[in-house]
Amino acid sequence: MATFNISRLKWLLPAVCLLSIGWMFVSLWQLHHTIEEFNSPMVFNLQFNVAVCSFFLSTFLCFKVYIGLFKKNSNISTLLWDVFYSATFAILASLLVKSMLLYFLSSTIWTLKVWNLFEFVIYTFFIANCFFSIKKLILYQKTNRTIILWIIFELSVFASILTSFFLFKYNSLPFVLFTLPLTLLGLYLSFNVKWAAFLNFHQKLVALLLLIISFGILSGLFLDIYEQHMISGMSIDAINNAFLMAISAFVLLNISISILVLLFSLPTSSVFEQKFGEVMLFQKLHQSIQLGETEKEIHKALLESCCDSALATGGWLEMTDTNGRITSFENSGIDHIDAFNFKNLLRKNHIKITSEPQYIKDVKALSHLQKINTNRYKSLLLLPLLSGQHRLGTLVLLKDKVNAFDKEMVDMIITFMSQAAIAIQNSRLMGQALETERYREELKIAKQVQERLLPDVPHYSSDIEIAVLTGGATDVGGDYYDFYKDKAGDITVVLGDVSGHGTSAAFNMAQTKGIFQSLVQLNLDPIDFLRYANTALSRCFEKSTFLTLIVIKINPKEKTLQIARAGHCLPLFYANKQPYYVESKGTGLGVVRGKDYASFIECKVLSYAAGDSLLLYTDGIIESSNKQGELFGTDRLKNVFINYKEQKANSLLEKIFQETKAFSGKNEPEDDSTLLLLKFV
Amino acid sequence: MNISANKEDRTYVIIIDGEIDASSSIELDTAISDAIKKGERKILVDCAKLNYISSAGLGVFMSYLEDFEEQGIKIALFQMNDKVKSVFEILGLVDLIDIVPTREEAEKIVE
Repeated sequence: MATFNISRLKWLLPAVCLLSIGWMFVSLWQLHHTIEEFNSPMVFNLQFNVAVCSFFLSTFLCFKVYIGLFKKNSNISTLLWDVFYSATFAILASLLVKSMLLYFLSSTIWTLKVWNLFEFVIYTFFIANCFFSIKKLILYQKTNRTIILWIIFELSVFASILTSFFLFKYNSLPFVLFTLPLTLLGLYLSFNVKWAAFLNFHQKLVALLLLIISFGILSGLFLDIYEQHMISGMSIDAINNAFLMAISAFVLLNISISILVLLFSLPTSSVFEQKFGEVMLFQKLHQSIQLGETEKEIHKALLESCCDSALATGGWLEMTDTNGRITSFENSGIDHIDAFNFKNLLRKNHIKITSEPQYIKDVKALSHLQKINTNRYKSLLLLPLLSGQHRLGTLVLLKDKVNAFDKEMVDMIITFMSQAAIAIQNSRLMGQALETERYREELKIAKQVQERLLPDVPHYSSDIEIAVLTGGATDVGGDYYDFYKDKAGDITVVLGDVSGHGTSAAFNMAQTKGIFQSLVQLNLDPIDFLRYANTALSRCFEKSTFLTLIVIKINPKEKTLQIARAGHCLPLFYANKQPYYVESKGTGLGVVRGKDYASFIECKVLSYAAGDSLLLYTDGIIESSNKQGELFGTDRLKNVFINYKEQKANSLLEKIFQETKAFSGKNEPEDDSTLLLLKFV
Repeated sequence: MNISANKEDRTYVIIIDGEIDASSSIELDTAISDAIKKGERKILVDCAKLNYISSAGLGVFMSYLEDFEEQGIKIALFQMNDKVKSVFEILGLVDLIDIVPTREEAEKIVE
């Protein structure tokens, strides 16, 4: 609906405008014939005045709609060019009409009247265009106050069209009463020249030129009109038209003020441009913070911003870690070699980086200048990049003039740096948070994998009771146990601990389980079992990973135990009412690679009887420590075992666990710990 | 945990101060690999102030055993307290790496 109205208005207004011109022409023709006398003063004629009013109204509305709607998004330059084009068009049209009329027709009063009418029409068009272009300029970066004032002004201007019905003399009191307040309001509004500030030096020059030419043309046209005013008997005396004069005064004043403002702001425009550039750079830096860009990109943005705003010849940004090691280097306008030479220069001159900015006004004042291009680099600014008390890095800026960094510049750069420090900290924290989250997910999976790898505790026969207890499972540990009973009835029990934690421990455990399950079926003795396991695991594991394992092979018929230990904690054997640790030589699996592993291990054979038991455990149990830093140790474990030896296998393990917790004063052991008890009944 | 290294007349001494757990084992690894890169052939490790070593720390020593052998590097650990030494013993590392009570003995081993 709205578009329909606008498109209609678009055609309606120019049509009314053209009709009004025609009407004016016709009324003029009629008047010309009724008033025969030459040089007779203009008399009041209602029809003619209505035509003039309708012409004013339609023309102004036409331009209002045209500029307001169809040039909504034009920028300052386009508006100024429009004013210039309309001025050029007006002067050319005026000259054309003037020469045509004077050349083709004799200089009769009728010709003069037609020329006067055309001049008037052209002038009105031009003034209307100027008026609405200026409106856009005045309302640039508008405030509510300006808008209200403008609305009042525009309404008064439109209302003043009605003055055309009165034939005031331009020097009469009512004329002045009408035009003066309007002009004053216009003058006041004309001081809204904020747009001028947004032009750069070059744009300002162009704008100045355009406005001066437009001003010249406007003055020329105005002089033409004034000339016609001096010839009596003209059809329309524009000078005596309060409306037209008020607007002309406004437009002329506005253009003059704009010219003056542009002229005076020319010298400072470079400073403004620079400040504006700084703001844009600041914004860029800020955006890089918000977009969560990588640290490298923030370094780049910081260095560029600082170099640009300081107009530096070159500079570099060096990031360091907590130990002062360089983690990242970014340079701009200076190559690596020069930067390196400068760093040497600073070191040789004992200039240390502190938490304060350091300024070397003249590089030549330093010594050891052999490798430095002192023509290109004359002053140097050294700034630490600080986050709180902590130094993240150093920024060095160089300029090709002596003493070229002023205080404002340094302050600005320090502000940049503190912004960037925040950005860098944020990006680091973000990275850490993501890393932690990923790690947590991995752990969850690893834990699930691990839980599936550990078997249910079997019940092989009534005379061997087996119990297992694991704890400290806040992290994914590497404790592993497994059982196997072969056809002959021999039972193999293993308990192991893969070094490391987390995902890698879980995967290593999976490999260990695979190897156990394949080797155990070969019915090997524990030494051979460990030998093969060592070869296999040495190929699977990383160089720094190893597995401690204890292998127990139980022969229930002969009531014997074969015990082989590969770097694992010594098993506690309780036999004949005496507990003792079974000592044997034994190196961890994966420790000795490519050598005869069998020589590093030995197998103990023990007999057992009903009432005996064997306790296996991982280092988490004996390494739980109390506040004094004491370890739980093997002696305490032995004592606790004796205290509760009469209990059932499961509750005995529970008791041991409780004792370690009581000892360490923590709810859960720090390390993962596993207890495995074989109770012979 | 703090690790420092000194190049002395004939030997290269790595001094460990504190606990070696999973995270600080990386520093130990760096210290040893630095020594190997520098071409050091006689390395002493001062364990007087080492009061705990985790399996990750043991793994570091273990992972360089082959390199030591292949490149003819002699290494000896000295002044290790009993608590820490028992960890080396249980794993069986005492058979593969020299752990001696005093610096003089350690120097004799690497000479």
